[in-house]
Amino acid sequence: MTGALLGLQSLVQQHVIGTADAAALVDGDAAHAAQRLGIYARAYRLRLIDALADAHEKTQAYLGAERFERAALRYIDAHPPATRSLRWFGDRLADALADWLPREPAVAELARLDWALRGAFDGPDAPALDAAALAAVAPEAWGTLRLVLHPTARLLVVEHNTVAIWQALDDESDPPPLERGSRPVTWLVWRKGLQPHFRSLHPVEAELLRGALAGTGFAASCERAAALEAGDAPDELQHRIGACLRQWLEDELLSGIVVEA
Amino acid sequence: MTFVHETDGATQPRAGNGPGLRAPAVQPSPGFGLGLRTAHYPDFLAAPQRVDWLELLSDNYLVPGGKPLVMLDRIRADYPVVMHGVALSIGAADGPDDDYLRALKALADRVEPLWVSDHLCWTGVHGRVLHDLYPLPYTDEALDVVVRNVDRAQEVLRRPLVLENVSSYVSFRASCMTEWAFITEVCRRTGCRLLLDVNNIYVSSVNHGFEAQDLLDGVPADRVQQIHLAGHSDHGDHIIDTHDHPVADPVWALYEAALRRCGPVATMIERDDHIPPLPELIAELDHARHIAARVSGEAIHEALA
Repeated sequence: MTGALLGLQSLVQQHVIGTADAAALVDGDAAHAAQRLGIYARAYRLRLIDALADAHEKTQAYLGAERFERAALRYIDAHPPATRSLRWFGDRLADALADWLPREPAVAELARLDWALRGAFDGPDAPALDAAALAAVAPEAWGTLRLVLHPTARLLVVEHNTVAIWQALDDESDPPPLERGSRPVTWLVWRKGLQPHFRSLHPVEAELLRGALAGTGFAASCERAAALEAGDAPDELQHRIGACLRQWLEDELLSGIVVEA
Repeated sequence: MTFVHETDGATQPRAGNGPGLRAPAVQPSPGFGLGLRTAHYPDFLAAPQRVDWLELLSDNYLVPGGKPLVMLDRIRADYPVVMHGVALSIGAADGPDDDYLRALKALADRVEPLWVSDHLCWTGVHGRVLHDLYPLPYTDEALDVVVRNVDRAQEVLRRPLVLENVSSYVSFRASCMTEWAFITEVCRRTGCRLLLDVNNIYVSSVNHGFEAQDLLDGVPADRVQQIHLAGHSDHGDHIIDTHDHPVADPVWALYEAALRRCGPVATMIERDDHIPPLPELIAELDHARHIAARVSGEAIHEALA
């Protein structure tokens, strides 16, 4: 009978997700069928909770196992998995936490940081530029070139002391009380060698990296950064930009230079 | 296609019970292996280990880059590997997923495994992937679907697929044949090979009340490419396949029976939770080596008698 298999699989799937009862398809009496299907329904949730916790270790530590599990179960019901790998299942958890816990904004920020670090861990590989490659750029080319960052590079705008909380949790000490910063701080997350890293950025460096990620020319990014720091002396800005370039080489953050024709 | 579908005759169970000569339906056994787990990376990188080959979980390495693939390349330089996946969903009515098959093929091109395996099950339909291994109803329609999907998988992977029997907690009213009749037909019609999970045979036999030996006797012995051993959790009226304990005694007994029927087969232990230090798993693997040596010795003794 064609189509019977798809029907059976749809109903069992709905039973596991929790939207239908497939007991009538299963051998044994109703109680036996319910008990055995229940094994699958429980295993489904436990496996997904584990996957979310694994990718959001500090978020779980901050919320506590019980609250994290409640949030995870809500997420599982809202977004039943659709990717072949469990690795990508948590991609919308931070957004969901921002909606569900608006009075605890650190939770979503922690989840974003956890997720970004996970992304840096097994994100794409790329060669790192060395100082010689940068030195070889002809002076006139700096007016039109674009810098290509390592493909794992991401910028996170953090409004609270979330990174201090993350670090306290990482040291297994008590996290500091939640505080809103005087202004949002941009953090860079990337992979150096095999290890994910993160650090906070000066507004000028943040603007330059934002430009690089957007594919903007380096000279144009420098002009926008200059506009941000209008009070600074021009040579101070130049000094800062030079320091950024040296730091990026050290951080293995640059993977290419594109010179526009 | 780089492989040849064996003739129907090759899938028939061999006459007699002795291991005898293995038919060329499968690759020769590389010996005794373990499932590669991240906790044991340092051991494998630090010194040679008494493990003949490693099984890697394909899905853990279907990532863009970084440490998982670097570790895999380093360990692969020292050990033969086989690839084992959980997301192929070969029994899904609306399968298989070509993108997933192509990703698997790319990983296989990178690591050059001895073979590629997944499970005879389904994991979701209508675009959902529930990340569990659900049993099939053993019907003619399910058989047609599996055969179609295996053909497609073998075409993309350009090698015979190795399929594992799953543990199950439910059986379906719609089934009209035994699990072993279903497995035998899949082998016959697709040329695929078998990963006999002896623990899964035991778990399902207890959960559904059949004789484990019937399944063992019912599948084509000459198609068994690999054997899995693992531990489980006994809940009295049912058993759950948890891979968090040492191999249980009834499973060792069944392993011995499997070797008597199939001859020497690549054997490994799977541990996914409460992962012990590597030497403990190697000691458990030595027990499998010991059983296999005894079975081979007895077979030679019988042949000489």
